[in-house]
Amino acid sequence: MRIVIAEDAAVLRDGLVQLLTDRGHEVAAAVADADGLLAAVAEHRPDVAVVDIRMPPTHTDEGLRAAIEMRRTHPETGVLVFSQYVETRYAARLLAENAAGVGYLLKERVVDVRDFVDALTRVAAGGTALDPEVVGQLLGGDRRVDTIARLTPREREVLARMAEGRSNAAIAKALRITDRAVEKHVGGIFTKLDLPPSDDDHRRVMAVLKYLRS
Amino acid sequence: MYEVPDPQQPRSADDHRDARRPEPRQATRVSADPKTGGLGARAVVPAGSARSLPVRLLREPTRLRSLRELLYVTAAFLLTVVLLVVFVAGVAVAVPLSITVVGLPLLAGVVLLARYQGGIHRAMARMLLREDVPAPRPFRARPGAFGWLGSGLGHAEGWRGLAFLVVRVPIVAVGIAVAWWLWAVGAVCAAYPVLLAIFDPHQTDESGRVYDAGIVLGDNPMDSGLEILAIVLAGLVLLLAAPWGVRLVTRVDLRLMRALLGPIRLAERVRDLEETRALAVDDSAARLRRIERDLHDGAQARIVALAMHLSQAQEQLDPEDPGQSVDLGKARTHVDSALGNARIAIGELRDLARGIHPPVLDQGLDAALGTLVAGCAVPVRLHTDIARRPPAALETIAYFCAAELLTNATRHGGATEIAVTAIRRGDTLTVGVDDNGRGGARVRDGGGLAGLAERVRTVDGVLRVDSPVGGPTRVTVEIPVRTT
Repeated sequence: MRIVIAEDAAVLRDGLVQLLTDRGHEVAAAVADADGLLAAVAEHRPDVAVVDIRMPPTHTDEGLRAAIEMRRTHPETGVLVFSQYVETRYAARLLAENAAGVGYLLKERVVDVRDFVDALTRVAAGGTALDPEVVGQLLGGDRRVDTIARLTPREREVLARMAEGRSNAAIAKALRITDRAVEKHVGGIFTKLDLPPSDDDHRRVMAVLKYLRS
Repeated sequence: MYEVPDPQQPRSADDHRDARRPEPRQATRVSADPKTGGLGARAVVPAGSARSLPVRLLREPTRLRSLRELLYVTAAFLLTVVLLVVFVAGVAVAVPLSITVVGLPLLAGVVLLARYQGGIHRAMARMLLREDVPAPRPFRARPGAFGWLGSGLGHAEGWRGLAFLVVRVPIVAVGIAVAWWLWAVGAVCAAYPVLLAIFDPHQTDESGRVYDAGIVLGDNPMDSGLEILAIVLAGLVLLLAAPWGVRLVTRVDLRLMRALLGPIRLAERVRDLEETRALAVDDSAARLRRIERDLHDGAQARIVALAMHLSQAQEQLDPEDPGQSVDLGKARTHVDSALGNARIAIGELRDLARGIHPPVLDQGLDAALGTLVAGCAVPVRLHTDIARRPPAALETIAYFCAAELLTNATRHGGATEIAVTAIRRGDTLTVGVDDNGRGGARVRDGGGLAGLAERVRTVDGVLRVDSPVGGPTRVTVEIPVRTT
């Protein structure tokens, strides 16, 4: 994978570079601000960019705005955005149109190195990676409590992982059940929530999120 | 005997002009006062004014200032009478009408107008007397129609303005009488012989006798040479005294103006407190943001990096793929990196905590300053004399002031020798930082010293800077210690 990293804390930036190069990926550029990011993506055309939301000069949402810009100008590059806190507003902006090739993770998620690289790979391949925290907040919203309550606990677990953007196989592995069982649950979820069925992982995410946010 | 300017009494532009006239015998005393330390120069106003007394007496009637003051007294009288009539009429109309819906707003309007007419008087004083009476605090109405009504009716500055008009009337009435009497009579008497020659008056008294005299004192017509001379002299005396009489009137008037048209002490104090409170709130918000940034960019980033290394070490020790062998070397490298990051994070957190509140400060300002100067790269002489410990909040402010001043001296001043003092005399805590650096320190808008000055102001303290270009620099912070 060719990767571009945008992170202003030098310690973290170096750590990410080391982590990814150790695993044999190519870090084409490691920059510290939004302008640097856009320039690097234009120059190197990476498979995915890892972007911190908070960057200079104002340390509010420079990274997010650059990520949205990137999606417009370089839709073939995946974007995995890091955030300090779960800001459902930011997630909404990022996922506004399309969840393909988008990820939104909490910074501490990077500590779980395997999961992080998994998410990165997924996003590079055009899938989705949403932080369980984000999904948890969306699921916990009391608007749809009664309909979510219709789901069995198992279905709710599957729903959560679907919303994170995981494939059926990944869900099966995580929950230690068979692929068939996952498919059955997914079918049940879509029926109970009146969602159009879809095989595309990211389209599934969109559907679920749209439902959860409405 | 010399006249030291009273700092309570504001000096007018005219007074300044008097003192500025060049005079060979004028002297400026430079005091080597041990209290201000070293080279505190204090200019003392020399003898009398620039001129000797008789010369001033003679010149006074001819000065433009005297004319202006006469004009002022006259205009003040006319203005006061007219305005008083207007306002009395206004109140007389508004008060009975207050039973209707129109009356109270009208009265409020009158009160507000009374406040603004004060501005006319102050402007006149500024133009003719060159005296500045500061404006009272602005009218701020409470929101809503009833709020405006209440604020207007209760506007103290408005009622004071009305009171000013009322009380002023006798003063300016007496004033104008005195002024014109002195000048007019003085002029006539002084010009008596000339007038006699021009008008050649004839006076007939009751017994039918005719006199060639304009002024008759008792039975005596003043027509002999000696008597005429006496009248002329009397006239001259009156003319010499006239400007002083008028000036007395203006001084009384100014006092009244300051008392009734100027800002109330209490209002000033409230304004000051409001400003410093806003500064304090902004300051603490900015500090919190800085702490958050330091934590986020510094310690947290480092701990995340630390965790990443440990996670990778874990991976090496517990490979997902059962066929993969354990790479101890790599694991060790990751653990080493993690430990390194942990150490740095501990240091950063410790510094951050100390930047918020150094624990040694709990043992007193002198102990904390001792630690502070010990850690300074440049040699620092410390002298503390604090018998009773001030409240902790003041110790904290004093400590951080000293810390920032010390940084300034070393980093910006390039000093090689620094002296820090912290002395409590009675109710004042004084912290001073002297250095032999390049000087030129100024309290600039938005600069470090300005920020310090504002922070110190929130506790009614004062920051003084004495820093000529080339050095040496002395900065002192004086903080009053309230024992309540």
